[in-house]
Amino acid sequence: MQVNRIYELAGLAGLACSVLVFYASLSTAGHRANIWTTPQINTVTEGIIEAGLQHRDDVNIEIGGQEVALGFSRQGCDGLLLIASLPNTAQGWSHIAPRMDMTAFNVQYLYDSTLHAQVPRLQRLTDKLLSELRPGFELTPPRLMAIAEAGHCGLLQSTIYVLETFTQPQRVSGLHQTI
Amino acid sequence: MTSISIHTAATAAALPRAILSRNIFTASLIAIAGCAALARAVPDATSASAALIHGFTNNKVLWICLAVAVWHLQRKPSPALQAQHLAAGIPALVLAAISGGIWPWIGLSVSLLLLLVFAPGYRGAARTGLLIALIAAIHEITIDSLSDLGGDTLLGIDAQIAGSLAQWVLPNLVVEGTALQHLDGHMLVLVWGCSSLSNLGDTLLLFLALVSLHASGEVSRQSKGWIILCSLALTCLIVGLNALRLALMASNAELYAYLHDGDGAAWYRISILGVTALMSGVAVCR
Repeated sequence: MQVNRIYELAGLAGLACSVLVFYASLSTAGHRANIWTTPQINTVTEGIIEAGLQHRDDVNIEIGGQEVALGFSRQGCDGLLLIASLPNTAQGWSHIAPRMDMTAFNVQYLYDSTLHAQVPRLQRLTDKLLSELRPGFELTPPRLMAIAEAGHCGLLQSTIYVLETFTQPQRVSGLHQTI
Repeated sequence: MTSISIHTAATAAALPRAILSRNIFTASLIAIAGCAALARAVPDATSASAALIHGFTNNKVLWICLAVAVWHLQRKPSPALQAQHLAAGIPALVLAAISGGIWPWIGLSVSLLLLLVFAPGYRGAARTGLLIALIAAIHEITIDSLSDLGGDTLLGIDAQIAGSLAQWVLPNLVVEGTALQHLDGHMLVLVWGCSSLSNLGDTLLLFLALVSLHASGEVSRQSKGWIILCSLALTCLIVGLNALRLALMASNAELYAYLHDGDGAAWYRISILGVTALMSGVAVCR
């Protein structure tokens, strides 16, 4: 009987601690902003323009009224670099890209600073699981982009370092996350 | 005979004095893990209360099922807590406290499995509650993983079923991969949230929870037959209703706006819940 009472007290203490830690951690919940909002696309655009490319205003790819892909080129080059920020959730990867008229191009997927022929689904899932396992101070999963190049001007090669930087995982504090 | 009756009387007398019974402890694990998993999934809440409210409103079916599980567990007195219950509860407690996303569900699943295997003794209502919570947790892990891994093949099958049913009323509808394409140019791309599979998982879970409210403990073979029959009928109804909704959403932009973001979305949810309640009612009344 005495032993049971000790177990009960230990159980109560565990439950109480868990509730307290959970409630404290709630104050940091909700700061996982959607990384594919306009400011982030603007950041990529700025980086690519700094690398010497020009934004092609005449290339306008939208889904549901929202611009989902950007076109870039260089003066004297008849090629085109298309960059599409894919959804943060995995839901639309394989059906959004083909519907952006990118099927005519060789589409590659940039994830964690590496170009992939296919979306690295399993890697992304494990990255997400690892990021969710870290309390308070977390590592955001790397961003995913679909990239297609038309022509032979080396547009991708001259901008790859900008894109790689943008798809690196970010270490962020739960309270001060700005991404 | 005498010793047995003395033992039973002693146990019965000890039960009300327990601070924390085995079943109350397990019910608390489920409540804590459920809160942690649902509240942390909120993308833009800024306070604890807002996070909880978002979690409640966005996962109504899951909350109902967890509440039913907790109710089953706490409704009968049980023996006092023992060491193996505490040990089995560690994964749920730790992962609920330190992590987010599907980790609390994983922790809860591990704990409930450990309780079932290494700390048996859950009978009747308690066992029903344990199983409902376990199925709910595994359902969340499965749906979340499938959603992250794409699940395009399953979504493609879903689109084919919806397209085949919809073509009875909309002959101009073409299925293209995971999308329903209307020949006037309007297209509906299927994602997990609006798929029949996602709806079906939630409604079957709710059906099970509602049936358990009436039929916990021993269930006769005839009743089992009716439960299986009603769950199959419910599956057909949910797939049919969802296919109709998808077809209407694919037919034009106005209907899409009404059914996806307008009052139509609420009516659809009400009809799904109504059908589920009706079928569970039929299952238990027979």
